[in-house]
Amino acid sequence: MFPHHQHNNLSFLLQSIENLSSSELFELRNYAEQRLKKDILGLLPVNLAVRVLMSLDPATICKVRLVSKLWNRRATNNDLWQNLCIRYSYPLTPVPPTIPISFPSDEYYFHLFKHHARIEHNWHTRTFTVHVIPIHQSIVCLAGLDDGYTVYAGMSDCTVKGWDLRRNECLVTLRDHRDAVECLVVGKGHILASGGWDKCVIVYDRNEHKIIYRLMGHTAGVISLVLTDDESLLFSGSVDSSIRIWDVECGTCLQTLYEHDGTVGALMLIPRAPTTAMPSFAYWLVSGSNDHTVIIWDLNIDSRQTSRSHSNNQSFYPHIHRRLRGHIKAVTSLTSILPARPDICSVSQYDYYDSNRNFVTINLAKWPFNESESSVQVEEEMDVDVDLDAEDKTSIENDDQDMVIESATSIETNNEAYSQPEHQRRDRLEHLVAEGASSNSALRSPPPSPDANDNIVSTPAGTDSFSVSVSTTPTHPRPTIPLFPSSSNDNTAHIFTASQDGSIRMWDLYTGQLLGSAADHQDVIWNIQCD
Amino acid sequence: MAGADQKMIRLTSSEGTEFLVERAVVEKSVLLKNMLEDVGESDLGTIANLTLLFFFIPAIPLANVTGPILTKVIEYCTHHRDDPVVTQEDDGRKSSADIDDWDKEFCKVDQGTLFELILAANYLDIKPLLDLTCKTVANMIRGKTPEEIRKTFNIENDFTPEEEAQVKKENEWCEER
Repeated sequence: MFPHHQHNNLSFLLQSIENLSSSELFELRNYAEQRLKKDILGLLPVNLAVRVLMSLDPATICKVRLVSKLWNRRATNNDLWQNLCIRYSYPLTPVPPTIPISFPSDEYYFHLFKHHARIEHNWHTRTFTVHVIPIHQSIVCLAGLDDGYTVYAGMSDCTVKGWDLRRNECLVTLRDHRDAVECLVVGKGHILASGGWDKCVIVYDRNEHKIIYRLMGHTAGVISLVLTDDESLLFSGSVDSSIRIWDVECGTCLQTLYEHDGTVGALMLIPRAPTTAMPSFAYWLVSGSNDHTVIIWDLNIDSRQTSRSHSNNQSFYPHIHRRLRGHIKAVTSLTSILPARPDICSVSQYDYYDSNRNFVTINLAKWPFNESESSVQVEEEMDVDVDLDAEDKTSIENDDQDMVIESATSIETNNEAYSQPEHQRRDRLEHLVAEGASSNSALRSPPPSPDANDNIVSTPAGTDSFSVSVSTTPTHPRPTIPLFPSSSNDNTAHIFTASQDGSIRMWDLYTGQLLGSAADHQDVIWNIQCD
Repeated sequence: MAGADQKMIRLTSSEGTEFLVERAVVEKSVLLKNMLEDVGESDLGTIANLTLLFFFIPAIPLANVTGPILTKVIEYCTHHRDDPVVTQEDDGRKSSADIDDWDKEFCKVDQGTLFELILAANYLDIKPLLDLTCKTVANMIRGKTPEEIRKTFNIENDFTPEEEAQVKKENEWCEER
């Protein structure tokens, strides 16, 4: 197929080569070798260069970054590293603002990948410190601060304690509740709120550890709390079957929602994308109850302004967007997946703890078609997604460490391998189920009931401890395929509900449609989390 | 004879060389397949006389592809004419191990040709060929030190020592594993 004259050229050349000396031939060979080489990667259009690099592993791509300036730009490309992030199941959500690194926008995903890879590496090599804080009462609930150093715990002895993990010391003990503390929430600003069996919610200023408001109104213990991002509204769920909405600024109860027929044990807020109709502060409130249902409330918080001016105005009563039915026992835990950005929704799996204290990962790629695939890892960690600065580590390079709180007794203290908070919760819920919705306000956690873990649980009170390990986020099995194609738009949001019936259900937030369910657990599921 | 299942297409390379290719082979290229579908069936199949046929065969000029490269592309498409169409998106995760021997042999060309093949495969939208050529280049990079990569592709190191140290520092995370 070559044009004819090329063959002539070649034969002419071959004849000329015959006459060359060996040194000339050597030169010619070198010349020809150079001529046959081509800077493929540098000359290809960027998208094709990315395609070439895509089949390489991150370590090799890093070597490519050292070749030349042009190759460096190619190998630091955002599309490339975004793809790698997805392949390695790293979350694409923005890193917490506490991380002191500023990523140049054109290298954002490279640094994001690097960040997560280091965390994962630290996790595997156990490059983290474990803080063990001995305490003498059972912990019921935990909340950690974004700074990675401060942890609050609600205790059964009516106190809330705060610890500074850097100095490993108790910062404060708040003794304002008159009964066991059941739930805690830490705001992004300065608010700490706790709810307890004394029927009240106490709002603290976290900086000074002073009470701002004691919110009274519930007629039974408060067992779930959630706070809006701007710390303006607080929602509390109670054993009295109601949800109360509190104005944090002025300490008033804006509204009481009486739509559940049982204890409201789980609350969750899902921010909504601002639209023209609802400019800001719009949320979905999701509540799970012992009446086996989940209610999605439509909160248009902007109307709060009007409702505050005439305080008895009922216009703020949020209407029920959907009521989800399907669970056959109490709903214990809620979580959701929201596309961080419409174009990159890559959450492909979610993790939860089962009642046997196993750390379970379900690969969402199989949902909702195949419900039975799950892998079990014998690890239980609660990721609070906070980061530490470099200062407490020997090396400055160790700046990407995350903190993980292992609730109550950890694997290391396996002889007490039953987490106290979980146990408390279990007691409570078992109790409530027995008592029904009409349980009165004097309800308390009964002593631990005999069960499979009885011998473990009955270790003497006073030896309980909880350990906090500073480390990296747990990693995920790979490979995983993004569940939601890039076409996911703003109208996609899935919520997950876990129940005492041992099942997890996935729902569409907007339509209220049941998308899938998994019933892999034999026992009660207490907590589900989504990364 | 030009039966219903083997209609011929004329392809013209950038220098004007003409290639007579079976339609089934040409249709490995998504670009050309769509083009042919847009043109429509016309009355090609009914012409029995080969000499006459030649003038009625649609000629597609490919200004971006040279003759030698088009030869290679046609060689590839002919070999893979019966492969099933891969619809699902492959993100390049597959390793080099799954390149079969024929494909490996096919890619034993100089870097200039390989470069042109990538461009042609991209332009003609022949995904399997694009994957193959990209993987081949990736394999040339894999397992080499930066210096070896420079040698392989005849690239000059234009980093200053400071810049190089900076990049090395940025890379440390993946070497400690």
